[in-house]
Amino acid sequence: MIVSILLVQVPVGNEDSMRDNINNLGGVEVTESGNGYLVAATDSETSENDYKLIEEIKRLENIINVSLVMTADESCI
Amino acid sequence: MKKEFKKDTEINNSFADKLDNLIQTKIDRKNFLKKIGTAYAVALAGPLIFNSCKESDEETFLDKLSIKWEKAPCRFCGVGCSAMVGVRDGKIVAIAGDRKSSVNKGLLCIKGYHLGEILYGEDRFHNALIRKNGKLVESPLEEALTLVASRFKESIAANGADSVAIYGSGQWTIQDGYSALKLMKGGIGTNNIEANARLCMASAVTGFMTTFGKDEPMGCYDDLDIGDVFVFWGNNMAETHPVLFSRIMENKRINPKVQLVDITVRQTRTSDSSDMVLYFNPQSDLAIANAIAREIVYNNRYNHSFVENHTFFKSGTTNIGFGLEGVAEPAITDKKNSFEQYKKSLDMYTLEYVQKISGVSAEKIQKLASYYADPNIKIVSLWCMGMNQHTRGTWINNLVYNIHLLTGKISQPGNGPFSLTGQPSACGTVREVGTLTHGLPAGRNVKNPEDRAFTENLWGIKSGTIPAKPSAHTIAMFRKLKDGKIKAIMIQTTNPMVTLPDRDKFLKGIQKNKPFIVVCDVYPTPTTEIADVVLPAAMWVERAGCFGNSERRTQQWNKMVEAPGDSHPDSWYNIEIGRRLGFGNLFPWKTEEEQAEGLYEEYRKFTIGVGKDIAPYKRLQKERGMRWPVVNGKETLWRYREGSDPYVHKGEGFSFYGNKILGNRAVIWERPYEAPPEVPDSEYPFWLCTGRVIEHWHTGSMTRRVEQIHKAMPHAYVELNKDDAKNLKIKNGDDVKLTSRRGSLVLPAMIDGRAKPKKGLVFVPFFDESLLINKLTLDAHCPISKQPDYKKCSVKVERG
Repeated sequence: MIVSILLVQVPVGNEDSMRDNINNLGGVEVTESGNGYLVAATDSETSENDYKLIEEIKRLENIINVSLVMTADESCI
Repeated sequence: MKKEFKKDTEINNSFADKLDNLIQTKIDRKNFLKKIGTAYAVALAGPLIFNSCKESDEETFLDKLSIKWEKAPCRFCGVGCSAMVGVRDGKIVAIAGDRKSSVNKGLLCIKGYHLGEILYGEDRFHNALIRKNGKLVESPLEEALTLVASRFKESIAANGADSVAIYGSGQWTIQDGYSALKLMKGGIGTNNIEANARLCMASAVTGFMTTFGKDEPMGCYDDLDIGDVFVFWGNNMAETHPVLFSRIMENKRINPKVQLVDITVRQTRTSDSSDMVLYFNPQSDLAIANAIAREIVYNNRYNHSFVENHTFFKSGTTNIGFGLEGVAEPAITDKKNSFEQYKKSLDMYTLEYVQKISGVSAEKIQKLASYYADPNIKIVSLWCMGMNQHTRGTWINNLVYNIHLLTGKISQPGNGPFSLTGQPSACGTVREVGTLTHGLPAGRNVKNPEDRAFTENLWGIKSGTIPAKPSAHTIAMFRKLKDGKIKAIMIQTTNPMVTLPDRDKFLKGIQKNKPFIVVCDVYPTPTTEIADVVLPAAMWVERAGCFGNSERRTQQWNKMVEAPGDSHPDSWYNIEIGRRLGFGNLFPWKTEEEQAEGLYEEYRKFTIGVGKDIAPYKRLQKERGMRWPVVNGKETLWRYREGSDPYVHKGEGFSFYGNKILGNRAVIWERPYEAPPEVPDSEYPFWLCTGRVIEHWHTGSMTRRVEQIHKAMPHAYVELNKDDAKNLKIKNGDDVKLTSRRGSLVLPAMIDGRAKPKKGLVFVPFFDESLLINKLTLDAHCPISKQPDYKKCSVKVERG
């Protein structure tokens, strides 16, 4: 099980619609947003799925940048 | 019996409790991780997210926070990601991935995102320390420099130039390494200079040199975006080079035919993402590589034209020993081979025989061989420490090159062998500047009279200053230090009291013979504990510098913040000590800024015209690095191929011009499987393998001072196979005592964690100085590269 925290930059004013778009991907949840930025937490079974999910977010329309803030798996704590 | 998890229970820091909680309460833990991660993200970007004032779309995060941003290559591994460093009020306040960098395309790994924090640990050195009455005492910098120079001078006068040494690092900037090399070889007149890169990539160097006559990869990271099959030879790339691994994963997402093959001794995150996993017995990679070559040759699937026109066959001395102390070794020679002789040497490596040695099924080896042989498949072989830290490290590098040469899959987009590196300038500084006992800049060698003369002439020093004979490689240097034969040493930007194999042997000798030890570093480490003088170092963007990454990319950065107290760059110390030793004429540059550009530009002169041409300093200030050879302002993506490498002439197709004496051909080597020096037996029945984790970088001296990373991975552990654990009645978190012939260590057990070793093998990461696994490892090494094998020795495993 992998959890990654992402800082996602989108155009100002698009936070709500992008929150929905990201949440609709499944396996990822936007936890905070504001002023063109969203914090999203992924929740995947494998590293591969985690990478895929991040790449899917990067490919959504209107995404300016996706930064990986941290990643952790079941042996991290 | 496992403890019940109670949400409100007091925090228990024991590893066992954490693991128990983890196993039983995945949902709570997930939420916990998300919460701390979110809190951290908000801390990073909080003012941005929660600033309610309306801003125009054009106005960026940068503008809002009044942060000045500049590019710098990451301080950690050899990938060479570019980071954007945000500075406000003289302090780094933010780090972002650099979207303009073609290396990382805006992404960083968990360590990279914490780059800024490594500068601000509470116990950072601000002042020089001198040991007085047994204790390190803060002292004026001038007093420290005078003491260092006088002790070096006294030792040279009494015992000769070879009684002093410098030991540096793949984290040295090009300027640091070049100034150290010039001081030692051009000033003092000794070849006693080595670097920790000897411990991590020397076998890659000797592999490249013996096969191609020139060091460093022919390909580049673009291969990761366009290859069809990626073979990880003992390389957990998902954890150790995560940003590059993400490029492969993106390639796989776009191109469903991409296949990942992991050749490994433990199931890792790389294995989890792979399509085929070959779990092999330690050391049997030699046999597997030969079996793949046999399949290709005996089934007539080799590239006849490429082999005929671009290769040369050789065999070398076998049973070459393991570099063990006090054991005599044979002289290593080589001779010309024929294709038929080579073919005959492969005869024994049948699928059945190699299945027996390696534990890998014949079907899997055959399938992998078919990937290499298929002319329609583009294939990249990747490796790092698994192949390099190997008592036959040079040989296994040669054997993987053999496969690519037999199939002609080399120097082309998406096709080629690619040796990864673990330090930010192991390539750019240690390998290219030549900061090893035999080295001179840009691939020159002290044994070559023309190379010595060229260097002495460029430096304007007396002919004969540079000794013609290499002195001591790293392990030999520390053996001399422990035996009292080296009397004074300066150690810069590295931590040998954690990284040397069989560490306590060296520590005891040093404590007994008491050589004079100077350490330039930023934080207290087990190495500064044995120092007589500590010089506080300026790190990363506290000074200007250049690094060279794994794909031949040289990158430059500017000074962005002031270093604390009396801290200075290693290059400044080399110059100041050089001046005090009477070699000021070698270093005409005054300010640190002049030194950064002056040292680089002088070194650049060595690189021009020899296939290693690096870009001018001022050009690099504008670029996200450039891959050498840079000719007519243009970088080179694939070496040795016509149309891509400016050193290959029209009509040549391919030219391995490092081997002029062999008609510009690359060597296909006959290299047999040979067992390692220490294998499990009835007394020590388990293999011990050591390595890295994604959170920490090397000995953890920087990353363990970053709170978030330290919390994520606070301590070392021992990974056990679950069947072995069951047999030994060991549960997750139990104390486990590991004992080798050299020492013992008690660590918490990790079973079915992020990686799962083969039965009969245990794995321990080496980042934790308080659980120092190198007390158990063996200082056996490859007799050609002199690189130790940290991946194989035998241990006993008991409940602690």
